[in-house]
Amino acid sequence: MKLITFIPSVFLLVPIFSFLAKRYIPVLAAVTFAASFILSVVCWMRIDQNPETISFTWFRTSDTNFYISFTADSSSLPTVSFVTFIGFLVASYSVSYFKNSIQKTGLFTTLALFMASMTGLILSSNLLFSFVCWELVGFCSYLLIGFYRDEEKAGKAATKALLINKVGDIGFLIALLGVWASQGSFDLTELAQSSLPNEGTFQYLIGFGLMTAIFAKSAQFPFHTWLPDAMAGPTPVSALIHSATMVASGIWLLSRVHFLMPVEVMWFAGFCGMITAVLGAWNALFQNKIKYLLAWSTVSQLGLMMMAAGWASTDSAVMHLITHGFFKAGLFLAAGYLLLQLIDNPEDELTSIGSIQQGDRLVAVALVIFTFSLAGLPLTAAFLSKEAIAAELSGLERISFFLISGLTIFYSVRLIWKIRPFLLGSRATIVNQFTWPILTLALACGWWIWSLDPIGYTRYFANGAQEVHLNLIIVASLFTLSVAYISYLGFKYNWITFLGKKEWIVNIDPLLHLAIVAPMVKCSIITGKIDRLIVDRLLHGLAYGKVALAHVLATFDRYVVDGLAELMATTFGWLGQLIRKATSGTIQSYLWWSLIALLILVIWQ
Amino acid sequence: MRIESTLLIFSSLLFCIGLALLLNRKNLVHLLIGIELMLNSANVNLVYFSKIHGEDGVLLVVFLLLIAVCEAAVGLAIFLRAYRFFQSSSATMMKNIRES
Amino acid sequence: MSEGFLFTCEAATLLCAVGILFSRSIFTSTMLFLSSCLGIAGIFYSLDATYLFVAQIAVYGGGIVVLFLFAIMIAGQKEQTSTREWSLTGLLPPALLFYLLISRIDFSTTSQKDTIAYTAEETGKIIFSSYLFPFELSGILLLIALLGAILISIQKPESHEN
Repeated sequence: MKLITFIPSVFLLVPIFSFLAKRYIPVLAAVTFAASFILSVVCWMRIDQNPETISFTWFRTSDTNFYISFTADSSSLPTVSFVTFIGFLVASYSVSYFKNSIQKTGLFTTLALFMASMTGLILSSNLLFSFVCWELVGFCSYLLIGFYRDEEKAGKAATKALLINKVGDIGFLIALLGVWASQGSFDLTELAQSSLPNEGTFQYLIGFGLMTAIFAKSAQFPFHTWLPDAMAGPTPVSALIHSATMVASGIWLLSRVHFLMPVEVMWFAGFCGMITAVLGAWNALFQNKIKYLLAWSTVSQLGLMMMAAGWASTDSAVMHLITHGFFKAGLFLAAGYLLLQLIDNPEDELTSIGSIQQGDRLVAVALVIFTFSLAGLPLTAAFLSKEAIAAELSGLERISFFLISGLTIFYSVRLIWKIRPFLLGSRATIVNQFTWPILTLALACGWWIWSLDPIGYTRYFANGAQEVHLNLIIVASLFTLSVAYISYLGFKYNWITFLGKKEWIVNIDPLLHLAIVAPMVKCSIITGKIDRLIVDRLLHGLAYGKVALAHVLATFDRYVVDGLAELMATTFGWLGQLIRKATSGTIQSYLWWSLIALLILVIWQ
Repeated sequence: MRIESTLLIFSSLLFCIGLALLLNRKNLVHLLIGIELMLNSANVNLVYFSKIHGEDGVLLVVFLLLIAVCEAAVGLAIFLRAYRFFQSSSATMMKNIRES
Repeated sequence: MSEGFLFTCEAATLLCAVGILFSRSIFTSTMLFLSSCLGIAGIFYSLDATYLFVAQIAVYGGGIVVLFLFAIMIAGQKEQTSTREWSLTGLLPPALLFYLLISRIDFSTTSQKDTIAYTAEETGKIIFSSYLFPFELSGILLLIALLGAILISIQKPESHEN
C-alpha cells in the first residue's frame, strides 16, 4: 500500500517543474491530476475491508518521534478519489479557462500544492500532519482567492479568508495541545483505540478547539463571511476549493475525530449548522449575481452537512459532502462558462444569462440537472444523501431539516426561473474543453452513484446493506415536488415580490467588524502609541544619556587624563630646566656644584 | 703644642676662605688668588704634620712651591688668552665658546 | 715668644685673606694676597722650616704676585665694583665645609717624637741626596711651564691690533 503516498506527492511535480515554459505547465498539471486520480481509484479497488496505515518518521525530539501517517481504508480512499476526480475535471477546465493568462504558472502550481495538501489531509491519520495540511490548504486558498492581483476586492477577500481561517487554526492548535497533553500521541488510530479522553477540561478544550477550526474552514456561522467574498477569485478556483473540496475538509476532519468530541459539542455544532443553513438559504434568495448565489448556497449546504454531522451521523454528512461536491462544482463550472459569454459585467447577471441567445443545449441540460440536485428532487443522488440524513433525525430536527430543504428548493427554482429564456432557447451542442467536464459532472449527479435503485442507498462506508426508508422517501418526494411546483407557480404568476428588496439580506459583517475588528485595531493603535511614546522615548532617553555620558567622559579624559600626562611632562620639563642650569657654562657654577657634591659626600661619611 | 694645634683650624679656615673667593668673585685673577690661597693652606698643613710626625712633608712643600709657580704662570697665560677671547676678565662672561 | 709670633702671623694671614674676600679692587686683593703669603712665610719660620720661609717669600712675593700684577696691568683692570660680589648664600657652603673639617680634627693625639727640624741645612742635604731626581725633574717642569706659558699667551703679530 505504499502507493497511497504517491497520491499527494505526485502533485509536487508541478512546483518542481515550474521552471518549464508556460505552454507545458497546464498540461503537466492536468496530467498529474489525472495520475493522482488514477492512483486513488487503483488503491481503492485494491483495498480490502481492513484499513492499512503507513507511517514515516518526520522528525524526532530527544524522546519522542513525530510521524506522517497515511491511512487507506474504506472511507478515506473513496473520498480522495472523489477529490482528485473533481480536481482533474477542474484542472482540464482551467487549461482552457486560463489560456490567455500571464499568471498561468502560478495558478497551476498553487492548484497543485493545494491538491497535494488536500489529499494529504484526507489520507492523513496523524493529527499533526493534518494540521500542517490544514494550514497549507488555507494558505493556498488565500493565494488563489487573490489571484487577480489588480483588484483590490480580491486582495481584501483573500486576507479576510486567511484571517478567519487563522482563527480556526488557533483553535486547532489548542486542540492539538490538549490532545498531546491528555493522550501523548497524535496518531488517530491510537487515539481511537485508547479510552476516550473523558477528563473534563481537556475534552472540552479539544472539542471547542477543533470545532472552531472546523467552523472557520467550513464557513459555519459566525465564520461564514469569508465564503461569499471569496468569489472574487477565478471561477474554476471557486469550483474546486470553495464548493467541493476545501470547505468540505472541515466536515471530513469532523468525521475523523468525532470520537474526541463531547456529545454536547456535537449537538451544538449541529445547531450552528442549522442556523448557517437557514441563513445561507435566506441570503441566496436575494442574490442576482450567480456566483454569489452559488456561494450562499454553498454556505447553506455546508450548514446542512454540519447539521447532519452533529445531529445525525458523520457518515451521512460525508455522503452529502460528496454529492454536493459533484453538483456544486458543476454549477460553478457552468456558471463560469456562461459568464465568459457575457459581454460586460452586469449587476443582474441572472437576467443577462437568461438573455443569452442560442446557447449550448448540453450546458443547459447540465444546469437543470445540477439545480435539481441542489433542490434534492427525487431521482438524484442528492435526494438519497438527504434521505440518509433525514433518516437519522427526529422531531424538531427533522422539521428544521425539511424547512431548510424547502428554502433550498425555493432558491433553486428561482435560479431556473431567472435563466429560463437561455434554457429554452439553447440550440447548439458544443463539446469543447469547457463543456466536457460539466457534462461529466452532470452524469455524476444521478442516483446511481449511491445505489442501483433510486429509492434505497448504500451507506457511504459501503457496509453493504442497502437501507430503504419508505415512509421517509414518500414524504420527502411529495414535499420536494410540491414545494418546487408551488415555487414555480409563484414565480410564474409573480406572487413573490419581496425578493427585490436587497435590504432583507442578513449580513453579519458589520457586527463582526464592531465586535472583533474594531477593538483589535484600537488595541494595535494603542500599542503603537505606547511603543512610540514610551518605548521610543525610553530609547531616546537612553541614547541621550549615553551621549551625555560620552561628553562627561570626554571632559574627564581631556582634563584629568590629559592633565595627568601633561603634569608629568611639565614636571619632567621643570626638572630638566633645573638640571640644565647645572651646565650653565660658567666656571663658578661648576665649582658650586662640585662643592655641594663634596659637602654631601663629607656629610654622609 | 697648644698654639700649634690652632694651625689646623687656621689652615682649614684659610682653605675655606680660598674656596669662598673661588665661588664668589667675578674677576678671574681673584679666582687665581683663591687657588693660591688654597694651595698655601695645604702647604701649611703639610709642614705642621711633618713637624708633628717627623715625615718628609717639608720636601713635599718644596716641590709644591715649585708646582705652584708653574701653575700660576700657566694660569696667568691662560687668563691672558681668555681675556683676549672673551674681551672681558669676568668669569661669568666666559660661557659660550664661539667660533672665532 | 715664638708662640706669639706664630699667633700674630696666623691672625695676619687670616685677616688679609678675609680682606681679599671683601675687597673692591683687584689691586687691593693682590696686595693683601702678598701680605698673606708673607704671613704664611712667618708661620713657616716659626715651624723651623727656614728654607721654606725664604722660599715662600721669594717665590710668592717676588714671583707670583709680580706675575699677577703684570697680568692685571694687561687685562684685569676694571672700574671698582660698587655692588658687593659676595652674598650669604655664597659664603654658606665654605662655612659649612669649614665646620665639617673642624669637627673631624682629633685634638687629642700629639706625638712627641724626636723630629728633625727641617732647617735649610737639613733641607739641602735631603734634596741633594734622596730627592735629587725629583729636584732635577722640577727643573724640567719649570722649563716646560715657561714654554707653555709663552706658547699660550703669545699673540701672532697680525692679530695683535694695537
